[in-house]
Amino acid sequence: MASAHGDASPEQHVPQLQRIADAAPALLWVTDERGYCTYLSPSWYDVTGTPPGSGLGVGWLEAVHPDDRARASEQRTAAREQLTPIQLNYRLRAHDGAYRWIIDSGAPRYDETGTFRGYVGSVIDVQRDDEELLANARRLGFRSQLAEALRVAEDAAEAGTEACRLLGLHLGVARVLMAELTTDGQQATVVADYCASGVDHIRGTHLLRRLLPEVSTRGTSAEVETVVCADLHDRPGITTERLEELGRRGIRAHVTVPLVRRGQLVAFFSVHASEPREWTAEEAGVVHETGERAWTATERARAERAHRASEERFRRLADSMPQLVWTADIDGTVEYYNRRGDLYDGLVRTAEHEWNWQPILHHEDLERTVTAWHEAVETNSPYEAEHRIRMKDGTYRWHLSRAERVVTLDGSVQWYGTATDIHALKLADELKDRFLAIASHELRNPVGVIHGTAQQIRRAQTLGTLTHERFEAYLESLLETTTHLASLTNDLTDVSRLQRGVLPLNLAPVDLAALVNEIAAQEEWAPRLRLHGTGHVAFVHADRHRIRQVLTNLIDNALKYSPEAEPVEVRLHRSQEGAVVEVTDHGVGLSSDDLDALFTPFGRGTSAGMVPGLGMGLFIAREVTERHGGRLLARSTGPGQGTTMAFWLPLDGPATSEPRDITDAREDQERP
Amino acid sequence: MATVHVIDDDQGIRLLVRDVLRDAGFEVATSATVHEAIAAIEDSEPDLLVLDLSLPDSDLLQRVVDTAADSCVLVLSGSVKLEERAADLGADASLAKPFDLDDLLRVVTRLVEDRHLHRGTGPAA
Repeated sequence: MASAHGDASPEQHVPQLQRIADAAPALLWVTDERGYCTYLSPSWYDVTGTPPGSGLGVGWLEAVHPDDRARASEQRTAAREQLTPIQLNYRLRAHDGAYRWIIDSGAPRYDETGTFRGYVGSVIDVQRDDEELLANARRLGFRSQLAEALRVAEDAAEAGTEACRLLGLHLGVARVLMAELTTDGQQATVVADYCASGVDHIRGTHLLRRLLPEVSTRGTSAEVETVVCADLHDRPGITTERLEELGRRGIRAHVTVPLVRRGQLVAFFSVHASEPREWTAEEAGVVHETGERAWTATERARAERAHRASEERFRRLADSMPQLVWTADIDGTVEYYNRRGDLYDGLVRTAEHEWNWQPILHHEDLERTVTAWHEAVETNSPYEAEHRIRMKDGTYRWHLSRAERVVTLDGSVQWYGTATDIHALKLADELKDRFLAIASHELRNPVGVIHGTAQQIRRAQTLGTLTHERFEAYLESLLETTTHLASLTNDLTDVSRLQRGVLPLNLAPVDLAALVNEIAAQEEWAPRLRLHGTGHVAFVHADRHRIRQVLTNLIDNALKYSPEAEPVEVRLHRSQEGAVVEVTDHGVGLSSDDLDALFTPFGRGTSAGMVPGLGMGLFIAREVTERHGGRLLARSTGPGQGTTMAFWLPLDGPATSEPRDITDAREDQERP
Repeated sequence: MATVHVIDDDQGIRLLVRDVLRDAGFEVATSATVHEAIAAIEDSEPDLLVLDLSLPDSDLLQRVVDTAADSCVLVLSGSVKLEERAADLGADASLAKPFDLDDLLRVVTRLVEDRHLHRGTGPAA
């Protein structure tokens, strides 16, 4: 122990220690080995109001509550006899005559030889410190609970309700409520509350002056002040009825805090006590602080919910768009694709959580696209590119991609983009270009003939070379050419009507066999056609004129695309369900790509070369067939292998195997 | 008399070009297909070959041009790529359908005269 005191005994340094003890803010004492007080710091005399020096020896006992003196004295003696530390509780008379509980504690002291020399100790004002400690602890506990509750609250209502409940329990009050002003400022809606047991909830929207006593929104928001009321019965100007009404609601005393945001009064936070209550400044402060924090949490929770709702709305909107929607950061790294991204082949996130879109672009469009995108990102200009993107089924479809650079509210930069499937449009555009080219070409020839022939008639007349034979030949040429032009324009009208779905059909029973025979009998066609199975009637329900148009087109095509030396086969089959006319040529044949393009308007096989025609015939044929509930299909084993066009219509009426007449009775009848 | 061979699958064009050129003093023969034309000119090459581009056997066009190596070639067509395709064939001139008869005569006359000047065989007709 001695070594702990350093190299000198306390006695040797009493003057110095005393100066220190005198200056210390604590109440210190020293006793000798007999228990007599040899030192008391000056604060003793300040606290007890006793004359300086009167506490030495056993004089200090005079300030101890008479009921505690004996116990205090005995306990000190007992500790001294056993040389144990002192720990005493007793009431001490303060200078105002009131007694306060104190803790008196001390420890034995020894000199350098180890001899007991008495006690040294201090007195702590227990009563005041305990209350403060307790109050501090409760305040701290409340604050941390409140902070935690507001932090974990998932919505605005929960934040407000928890704040009310915690404050209600903390203050031990009847009710805590938070009421939000309506837009007109005259009413308030209870958004959160707490009620002690036996106290009724106040819910819904009320006129402000009915809901909360003594508050009004008159004047500017800055003029609305916190109201602290210990007892409404002491307030002037409140009617008895009103007091009774408030009493029924458990409101006798209250603290009501206005909540102001951005200069606007937005809500009140109010604490009610059902009995008169003197609110301390600290309690009013806690109410104010809790109200502020609860409202802030409420607003934050609302903002978060609004944000989530907005985010959700954006996602739903983006997912319902018939486009690929995406966002990218300032560097051009794609961060988001809407659900439509699933339709594309291999649009996946890399290990770095970046979307890599380059592998799904058509290699011919990749460089152009990447250049355009980098340029847009570097120059902050809108991005636009047309390219083919690979779909889940492995096919490429044309897309128009566009993006705009947007600076968000927080100053960050984001790209918002879409990729729109323009495949059909692109094809239609190509088709239109092709049509214009073909149409222009197809029109130039007949117009050239008409114009030139007319000129020639006049010319020959002048020259005197317009013989009768020449005139007849020119007239024939003009008629033939204008007939061809008329047929072209009819085809165009048909295409237009078919595409608008307004082609009229005059349905009636039609014998396909008879129709095929009739068409095949044309003078210039008959020598090149071989007919099979046209000896039996095959009735279909159809528009005779239109079906004739289809068959004529099929046979005409077959003859056109087939070498003149080769015959064209026309076969008629019947089954339970329908009748099929197959027209087979031994001509140029078709690749599978050609087969696809065959039935589009103005589409023609690549092998078609410069065979004249608008390419509308097969489109019209298939459309007309389908309007009849039938099918028109093309088969070819490839270029140079010939083509078979199969035209199927459902049978109408009784199919008979009886020969119609003797001359048509031969199966596989061949012409000529 | 300068000779002209017209290849066009359109009967009206063949008739028209033949009569107009005949009236101008040319000796004119016509074919509906390239195939037909090749057979016709093998023995006697014409001074001028007038041909359409869209023919059923237009894949043979280069062959007929090559066959008539000493002939002038005039492409007479409604093709939108007329000039381009005429140049590809090595044609001396092209004229778009529909054409004016005076223009046709002018071009044909110039081509035939040029050819005779270069060959030193005297003017046409």
